[in-house]
Amino acid sequence: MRGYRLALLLLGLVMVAVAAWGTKEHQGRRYLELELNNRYQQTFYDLLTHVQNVEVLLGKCLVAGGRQQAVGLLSSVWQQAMMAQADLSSLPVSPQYTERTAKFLSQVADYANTLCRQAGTGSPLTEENWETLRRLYQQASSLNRELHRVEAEILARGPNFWELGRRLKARQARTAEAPASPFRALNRETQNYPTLVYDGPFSDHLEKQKPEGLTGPPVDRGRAEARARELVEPKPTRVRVTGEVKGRIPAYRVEADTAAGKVVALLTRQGGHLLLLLAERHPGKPRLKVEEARGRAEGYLRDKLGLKNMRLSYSVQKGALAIFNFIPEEGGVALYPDMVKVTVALDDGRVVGVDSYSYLMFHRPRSLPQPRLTAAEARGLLNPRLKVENQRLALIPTDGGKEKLCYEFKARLGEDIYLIYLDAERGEEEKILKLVPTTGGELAL
Amino acid sequence: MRRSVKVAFMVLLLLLPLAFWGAERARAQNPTLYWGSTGWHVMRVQQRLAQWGYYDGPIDGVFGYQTWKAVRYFQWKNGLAVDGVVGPATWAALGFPSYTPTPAVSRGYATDRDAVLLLARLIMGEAADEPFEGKVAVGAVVLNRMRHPGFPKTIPGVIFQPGAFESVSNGQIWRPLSPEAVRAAELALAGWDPTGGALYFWNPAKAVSPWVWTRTIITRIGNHVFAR
Repeated sequence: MRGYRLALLLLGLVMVAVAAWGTKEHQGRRYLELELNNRYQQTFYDLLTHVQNVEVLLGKCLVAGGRQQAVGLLSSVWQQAMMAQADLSSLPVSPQYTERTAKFLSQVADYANTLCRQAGTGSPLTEENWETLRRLYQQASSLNRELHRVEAEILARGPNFWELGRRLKARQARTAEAPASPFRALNRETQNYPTLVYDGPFSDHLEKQKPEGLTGPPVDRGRAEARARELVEPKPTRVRVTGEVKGRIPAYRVEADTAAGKVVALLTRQGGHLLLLLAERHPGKPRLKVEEARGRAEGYLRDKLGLKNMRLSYSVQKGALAIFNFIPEEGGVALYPDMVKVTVALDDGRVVGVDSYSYLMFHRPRSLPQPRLTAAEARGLLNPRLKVENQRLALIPTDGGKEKLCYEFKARLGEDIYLIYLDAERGEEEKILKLVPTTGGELAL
Repeated sequence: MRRSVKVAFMVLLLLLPLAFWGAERARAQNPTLYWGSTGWHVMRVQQRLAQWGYYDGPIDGVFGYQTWKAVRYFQWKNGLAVDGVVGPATWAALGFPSYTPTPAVSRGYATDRDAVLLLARLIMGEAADEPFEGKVAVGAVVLNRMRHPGFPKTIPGVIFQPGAFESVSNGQIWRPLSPEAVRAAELALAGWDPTGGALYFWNPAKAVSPWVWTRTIITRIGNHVFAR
């Protein structure tokens, strides 16, 4: 009888303890839930505010008379749209639903920025620019309206971003239903946005660029395998095509077994050019100097890939690897768009990586314009605080997918090194690059 | 004597803000001072000598006998040439080193290390058991997203976008890094992209949302399908 009572008492105590522990856990979870929810709510309301600002500012752009006014407004559009884009991608909504809307916001920002720079160089907004702004204004209004509908829906169901986030995680394993439903409608709405072509990095025309550096007839698998046999170091014991890469430059995927491990090579379907090379093995202790490895990389380009006139532009040592960036030089002009990168293992000096995507994408016979400014004239336009160390003519890619002939200056301010590109025609600063010193990084200019 | 010290002290108090205002510029040139020099540079010397107990005359900005004596005493005590002239060496010994023209802009502290390690974490989380090519491929997808208008504009933005990567949702990315993952991240950042521009990848052996099959499949590497 006594034992029974004691057991009962103990059981009671245990239950009290469990209840207390459970309450504490529950409170902790409740706290986290609220806290996370609040963060998401804030992000959502930030998104609403920023999109609303984009709409209003775009409206103002349509009526702005002066250039100065327009520049101010456009830079605000740029900033607000960027923030809206960042807000949208911080919400617990699967990227598949936010992609289109995020793209729209990026493009608005990018377009505003492009116009801003255009106005900065003195050219006024054209009729076409105005028409595009008007269209963007309308789309921003409809996005704003949709978002407010989403807000109403979320408010009606109570603040449940926590739930959204939790189910989003589960989604990956099961289905993409329910949680994001208000945002799904939003995504459908944005499907109808027309394409936007302009001179900026997110312009739609860049997605449709075709490779220009592919020469030669289409090759079959056997030819691709034979080519891989020539290109892979050391001599492979077995090569076979294991698949295809249907990217912008269609290619065969060839796996080669060598004494030093597996090597993967992508060879283009047209012409059988080497698009990419990647050796699996982890290089051992470095025994070569970067300078010696450079000779190997240059030899590989010349003898195996048949690329002449390639100049080293930058090299960097990453552990037991050295990465070299080469660019072709034509008539004293450095062609930056046509870059080829080569990686050499510093233990045995073999080439373990090649990336010639840019070269195959952009290299072609070009008729380069004559610079209108002389080098000395261009130099006179630089910020006088800079100490110029070197200069040459260079063709550089612009954000909008075009190319521009520039004077390239390597200059120093204090300890920092800058690369400054001046338009060889009008002398405007096209680009300023700051060299970030990394251990083992070396600029060859 | 006491009175003059007091007055000098008050004058000094009044001048103090001025002294601070001028300090930056004054450091640019510490003029050589000798018997007969006047001005507030002399006052700086007198003040410092008085502080350090070499001088008990008035801090009046006039290089006279008392100052000369104090300077010589100070030079003698500090192993300097005892000439009663305040040149660069004496200025420095007094705690006012002459200005060496260092550039106003010092070297920046920008680095790509954080990006490499963060990307390596994601590669570790998503593709630890994949071949090396598959690891580089996952890194390339992150960079392709970063350059695509529909995704965040930074590497952390892409990686931590809610619901974007399973290994971020379940904490797998915080596993210890392997050197291979870091090497893959470095190559991906250097531009290697075995995926041909993919924005999505998934493991078809795991149950996935039917939505993924609406994307354009580009290639398959290891256990992952890559698509745009």
